[in-house]
Amino acid sequence: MKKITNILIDQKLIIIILILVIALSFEDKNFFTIKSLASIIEHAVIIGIMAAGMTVLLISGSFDLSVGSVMAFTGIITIILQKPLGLFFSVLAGLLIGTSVGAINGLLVVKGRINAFIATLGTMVIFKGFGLALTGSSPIKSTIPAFKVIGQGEFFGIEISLFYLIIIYIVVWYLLKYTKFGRNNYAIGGNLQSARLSGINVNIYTFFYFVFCAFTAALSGIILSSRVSTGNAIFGDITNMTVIAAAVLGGTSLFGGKGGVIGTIQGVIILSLIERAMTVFNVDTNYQLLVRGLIILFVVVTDAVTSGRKKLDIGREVINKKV
Amino acid sequence: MSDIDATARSMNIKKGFIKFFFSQAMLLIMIILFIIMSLVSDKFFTLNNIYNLFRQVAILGVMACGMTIVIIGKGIDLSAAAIMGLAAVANVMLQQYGYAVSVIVAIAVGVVCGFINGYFIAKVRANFIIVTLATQILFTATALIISEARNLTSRPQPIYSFIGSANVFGFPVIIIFLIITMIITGILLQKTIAGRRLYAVGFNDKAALVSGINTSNVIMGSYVINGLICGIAAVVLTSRISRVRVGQTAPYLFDVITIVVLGGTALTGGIGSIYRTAIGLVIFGIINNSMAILTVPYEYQQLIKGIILILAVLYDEFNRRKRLLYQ
Amino acid sequence: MKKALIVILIAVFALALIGGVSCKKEAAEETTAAAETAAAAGVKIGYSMPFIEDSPYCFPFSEALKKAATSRGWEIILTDAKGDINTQVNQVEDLAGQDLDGLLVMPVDAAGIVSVIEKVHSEYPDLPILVSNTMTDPAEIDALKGFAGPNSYLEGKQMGAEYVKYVEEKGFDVINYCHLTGTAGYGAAIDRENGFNDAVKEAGAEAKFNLLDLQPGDWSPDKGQTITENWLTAFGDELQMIYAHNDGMGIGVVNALKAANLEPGKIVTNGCDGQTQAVQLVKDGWMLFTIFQSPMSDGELSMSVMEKLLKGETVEYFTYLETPTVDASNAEEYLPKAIEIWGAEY
Repeated sequence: MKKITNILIDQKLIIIILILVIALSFEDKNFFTIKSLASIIEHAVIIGIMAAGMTVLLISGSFDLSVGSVMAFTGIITIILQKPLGLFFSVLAGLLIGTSVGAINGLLVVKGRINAFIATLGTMVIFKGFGLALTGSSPIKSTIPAFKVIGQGEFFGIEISLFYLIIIYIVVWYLLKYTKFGRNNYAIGGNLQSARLSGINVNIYTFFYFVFCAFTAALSGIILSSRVSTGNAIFGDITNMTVIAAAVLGGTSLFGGKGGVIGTIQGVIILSLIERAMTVFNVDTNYQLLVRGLIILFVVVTDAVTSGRKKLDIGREVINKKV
Repeated sequence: MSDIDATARSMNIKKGFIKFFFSQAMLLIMIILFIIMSLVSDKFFTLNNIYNLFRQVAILGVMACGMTIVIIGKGIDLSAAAIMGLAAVANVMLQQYGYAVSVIVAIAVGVVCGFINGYFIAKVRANFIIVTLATQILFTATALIISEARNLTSRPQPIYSFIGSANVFGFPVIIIFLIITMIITGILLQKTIAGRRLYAVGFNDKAALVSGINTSNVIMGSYVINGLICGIAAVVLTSRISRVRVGQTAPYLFDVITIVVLGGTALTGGIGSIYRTAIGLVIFGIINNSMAILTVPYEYQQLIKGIILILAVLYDEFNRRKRLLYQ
Repeated sequence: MKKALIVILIAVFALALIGGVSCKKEAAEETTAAAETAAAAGVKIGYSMPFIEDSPYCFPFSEALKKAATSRGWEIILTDAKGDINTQVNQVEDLAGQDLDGLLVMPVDAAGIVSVIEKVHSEYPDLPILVSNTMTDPAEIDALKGFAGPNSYLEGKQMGAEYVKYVEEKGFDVINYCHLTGTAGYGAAIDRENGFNDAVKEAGAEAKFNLLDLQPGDWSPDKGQTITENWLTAFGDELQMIYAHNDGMGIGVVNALKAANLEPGKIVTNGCDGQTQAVQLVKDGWMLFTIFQSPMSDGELSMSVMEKLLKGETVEYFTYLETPTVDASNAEEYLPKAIEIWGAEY
């Protein structure tokens, strides 16, 4: 009996996925078609890619509130640069510029010693404002039709964006498991002082984790803008929370030092299935918000309960805080 | 001998002065901003405008008192605006039962919400950021469900208009309300044992635990008090704005956090005071008001606010290091 | 203890899901009850809304849609994109996969929604798709069967025309005004801004309208009031007019004007939606006019156009909801209508 409960708990995510799939297949006759199943994952691409980057950052013990703004901002910049730079270079420039926001975040946290929360809150607002200013508070349209291939291109009926998701996850999985980038991440997140004492250059690595997180947000921004062929500063208003929720749902602890993309992808799939369920079950819209809030609460309570923290942890230390 | 004494004394005075200078940096910034704005725009330094400035930030100021308490305890409450929204909705919906009842319920709602936050953060020990994010959604959802997403209009009540728009000896009542709230919260923080315990826990929770303080109760208390204050803020909101809509209060959150941080209360906990928050409030008010009467375009206002937030925090960090240096 | 907690949480989660299923069952029961009296049973309609909860208009609109659908014995699925285009794109795709008979979309982003509409159309060519409230950009696309509903752009033009009329009646050479928009970046706000500007341009009155400042009021009376207070400080007697994009903000403007002890009509303003309070303010002379946009009629219109499409009738591409102007001359007769729709205290 104990063994069964243990297995149940270790694989709780898969179980939730199974419950959702079964429930959905009852209501939705078309559920098990390739189209329907693929679309669950296709819908998760944008959140999923950002969640991978966020996972990396969360493991190190920080997080980033500006991902939604970076996503929108990258899309806007890419479209603006289409005329002067053409398709390829505008995308490249967009990626670079979006990723550089991560560098700003990293500098603020590591050199400026600002709390990650405030720093990324600040950049979130700044780049949203910047995006609004650049677009004149209205959507801007893509001027190159070929741009939409990135987000909308299909390969035998399945969106190619799916492949971006798979590639990113494989890359991040590999990075976290087999490289210094990954191993140091867990060390820094697990115990900051020990990591520093054992010679890890905490500052540089943390900086790069911020950069990576913003990179995934920039990538998602390009995919999203390509999907809808527009850029608008209002994209990503609610994305932050969903991304963090997906990562935490997947077992990445907000306290740092634990987690991985295997869990995150499960979390992302669960959220996508829940969205599908809301539509299929025609859940009353007033209650949808309630359900979403309860899910996040569920997520975080489970995280707290399973992270095995004995002492009251009321906050992550600012990196390099001397006092 | 006396030469050395004299030199030492003058060095101490200098040190003290520099220390004072860095610790009061925000106050200086506030004064400088005020002077600049008065010179730039002749519309700024009018009594009416100054009153407007404070009236507009009064609600934020009340909320900032609660947020200061939570932040000193090394936490944060992202659901504060949602608590205020829910309390305001409850307030307006229950007005048919009389003014007193509706106000009491509003405050009670705030307390209950604070209790929920405190429970999950202090007792279950979940991460305070995501818990308050989740409760933000939950409280907003609850408010939506009970108000059916409608705008609610508050009935004209003499006491509401008294708080909201009346003047006592020409001085807006709402500002007096704000000042009283700040004084009471300040006394709570500085002069009571509970307040001192909060500082201890925020500064170093492990040490506080070891010295016998029940840290989880202290943290729980901080969230409950914040909830209570948000409930009070809801009453002030209804007094000033007769129409209450769920979702209206959401943008307040960022502003409240900015105000507290601007004042110099750090998110790392253990440092801060209502005095600092008050300064942050005035600075924020001046910036907001200035941008408005100088008709700065909306997009740039956001940009500027974000930059100011970051500059303020950077400056505060710079100050802290300098202060340590001169210890 | 820890493990028990997790098992409990999973159980709660499953319960929430079951709750969702039972919600659906309830909706189905209501539908069957109405279907006994109505003709077309088994019709399933999907409606993708940009907001439901966060909008004082969308909520009664969604209720009206549900009523209009059930009165025909139809089942309707509503989705709420919470203002996020990515969510809406996903929801539209999900809806399309649900064996629908008809699909309506109210876009978060007029330009951004086009790709997914075209995609859905190519996958389900027999599914009629209507767009409502905010027109797509470009307005006419092959994938759409048409547009039904109030047109924010035309409303903007209506409002612009009213102000042009006012300026001409008063004989002003120049009027100084401030522009209070809805939430920045969202369709309805952009439409009402452009509509107003175009109306002024078309009347050749551009030179007469001097824009002092433009700020988003986010559809909220609170912001409307605060921004107006600041405008009064910044511009003082110079300010003659405030163009507001909706009733909520207009009411906030009036509150600020009242607090500043100004007389009604000294600074003209307006609303849009036709809520009870706004109509009252028109009657009292605080608002020059408001636009009557009944969410009930809006919901009924969407459904009736869809009904025609399903019956195979040919339908005009653009079917606009009547949005009459409520000004001093007819405020009296619109007041009871407003109360009926929005309630006495709205």
